[in-house]
Amino acid sequence: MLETMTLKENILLPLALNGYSVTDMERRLNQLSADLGIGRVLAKYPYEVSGGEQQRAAACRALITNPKIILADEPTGNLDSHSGKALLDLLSLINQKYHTTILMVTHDVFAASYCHRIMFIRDGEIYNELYAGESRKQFFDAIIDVVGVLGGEAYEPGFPGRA
Amino acid sequence: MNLASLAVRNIKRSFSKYMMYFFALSFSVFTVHSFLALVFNERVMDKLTYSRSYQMLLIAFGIVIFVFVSFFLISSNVNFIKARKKEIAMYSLFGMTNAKIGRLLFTETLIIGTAALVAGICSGVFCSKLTAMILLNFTLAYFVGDIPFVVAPQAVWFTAVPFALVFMLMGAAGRRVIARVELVELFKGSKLPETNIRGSMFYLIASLALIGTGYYWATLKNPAKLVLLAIPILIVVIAGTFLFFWGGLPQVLGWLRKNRLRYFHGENLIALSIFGHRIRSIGSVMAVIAVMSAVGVTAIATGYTLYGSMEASTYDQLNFDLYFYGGREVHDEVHNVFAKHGIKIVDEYTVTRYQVKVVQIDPQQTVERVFRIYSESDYNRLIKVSRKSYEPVEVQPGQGLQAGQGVETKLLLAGLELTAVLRADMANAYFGTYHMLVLRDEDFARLIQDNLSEQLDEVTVIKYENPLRAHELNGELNQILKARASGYGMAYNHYTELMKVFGLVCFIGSFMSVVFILMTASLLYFKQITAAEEERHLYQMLRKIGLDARTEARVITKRLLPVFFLPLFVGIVHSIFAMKSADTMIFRYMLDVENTFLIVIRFSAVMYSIYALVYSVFYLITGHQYTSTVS
Repeated sequence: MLETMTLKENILLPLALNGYSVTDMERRLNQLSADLGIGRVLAKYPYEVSGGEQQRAAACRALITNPKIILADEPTGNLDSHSGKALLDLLSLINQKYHTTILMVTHDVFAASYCHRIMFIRDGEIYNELYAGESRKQFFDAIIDVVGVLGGEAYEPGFPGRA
Repeated sequence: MNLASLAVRNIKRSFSKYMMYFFALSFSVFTVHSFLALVFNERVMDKLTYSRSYQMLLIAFGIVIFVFVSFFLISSNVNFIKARKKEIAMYSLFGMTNAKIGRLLFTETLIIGTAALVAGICSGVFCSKLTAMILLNFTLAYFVGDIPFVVAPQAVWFTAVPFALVFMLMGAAGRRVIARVELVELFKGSKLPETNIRGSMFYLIASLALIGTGYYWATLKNPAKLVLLAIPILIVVIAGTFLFFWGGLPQVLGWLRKNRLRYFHGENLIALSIFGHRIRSIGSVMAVIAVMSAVGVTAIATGYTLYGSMEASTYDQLNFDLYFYGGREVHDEVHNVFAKHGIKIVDEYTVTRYQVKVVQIDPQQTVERVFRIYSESDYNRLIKVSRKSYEPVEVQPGQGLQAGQGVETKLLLAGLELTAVLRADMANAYFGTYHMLVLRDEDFARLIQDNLSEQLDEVTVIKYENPLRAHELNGELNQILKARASGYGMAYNHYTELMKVFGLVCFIGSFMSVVFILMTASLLYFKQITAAEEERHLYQMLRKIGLDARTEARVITKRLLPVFFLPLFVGIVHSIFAMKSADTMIFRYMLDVENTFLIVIRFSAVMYSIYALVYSVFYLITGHQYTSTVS
């Protein structure tokens, strides 16, 4: 977020840089900001709104260009658990509503459990792959297992999680 | 590695940044030294003997310059240190104590200061002869030839000591900047510390009202009133300017941001928002600079107009390069002098002076006056010798023409009854009387033939090459004519008188403006370089979301342009109104034309363009530095 601009200006910046028409920009903004629940704070500056609202605005700015894919690098990295969960809910919402692919890098098992498909990377190589099932709780446990093995010094063949 | 070598390495590494700083310092030294060199140059002072008070004027002006320069130096130094916050934070992080960092900066300031002092004084000494010649050329019409090159030790001394003190002060000021800020804050140097301020309609209206009032007063036609109002005008205009930049400009920016169609065009959005964010700190600077530009540009425009109009004013009073009456012998002697000095006479005409007693009847009174009379063809020949371009006249039957303005009167002269028509576009060629009349050739011939007029000696008017600069010729002519002629007038003498009065004023005006222009422009430069350091991260972020290099260049242009040209514009508009008052108070009486303000504005426009040019150069340098800092 640029501290010299209001949230609205921040969000519209990518469009403005690409020379979109004002009506087009505002149409997109109105819909998106309503979906993300920041319609009321659009005229405020970043320092005037809460951290969560800033996150939403940042997400809004990422989405305004209608991307096919969003690359998220440790998105929950510096958030407390509450706002981390809020952000993940938001990403899920984006994924469902706008059919945007989200590629996320994370060390956070809880964040990973929101995904449909997980690739574990160890020392630069794909080590394992998981697909989400019916229940997130089960998926979460499965991830924990893999992470446990990944983090261990030694592992035995046939241990759960080893494909 | 000790502090001194670290300081030297710092300077070497970011040479371009220090370059500007170094130039600012050496230019200040140069200015003050040049001034003192003039004051202490005995030959120059000897030439200016006609008024001892001129030396006082120069000294007083020198003090003003020095105070000004010190203020400029200290503030640019503070800006310079702020621009280096991060570097200082690094030192601190590596375990240097504040006292040590302070000593480092102090050493740096001293190194640059000493170099600047040497460079400034050397170039000052080098140019001292030139500045002295310029001053004398400005102020003395009869100044010819050469003055020797001298080094005035007092000038060097009186420059070096105060500047050494100022540089030490600057070093100490740097220490204070560091001592007052916490380490964390130094690192935050890259964050924008300001908040947006929203303009206020009240401020905008109040500022415009104040400036408008000042302008209205400045255009009053009554010079006496204007003199009384001078101080109030200054107060309201300066107050209005500050209010405008503090509250009015943010309001205008607010409006611009509301204009969605233009505003949400990528580069406008970025540039306006960054500029708007800066307005609090830059607002005061812009106001100060607008006021200073107004003063500087007015000073130089006044000087230049005075200077440029001196020649016009001379001929308004005199019409001719030279006239004299005193008979054949004087005439021949004058010709000999011209031949001796090898100066060509461009045109010359000799005519016998006649005068006649006239009864003048106007509605109020009837008086008897003595008139100098000319035939139409004599008059038309005479005006060809004039330096001013007069149209030949044609006298209607039953009329006589008089130079000047007023109502027609009846004239009775030697049995002739004429209507006197007053014409403003006619030259006065009184040559010893207060009234002149141009008659039809027939009327004139009859008066002469019938011996009805009194015949005096001949008057000769001469137009020659380079009349205002031919010092030796004019000197000798003065000697001869003073002794021999029964009356004479020389454009050169009028011109010299005017020069004495206005030359030094012009010189000081120009000198001061040059100082003002360069100082204000470099103040803006330093301010923007500091800002660039703080705005760097904005551009980094912008590049991540798709700001390409070409758009970035346009953003930077739009970001910096108003900083330089808004104060310049306000300053010039202020100055135009100031020139209007100057016109009412001074120029109207100096120049003999319908609309003196047009001439004044024409002269001023030259200086406004030069001012704008210098600002453009500084703008380009700043743009270059800003770009390389943020990328």
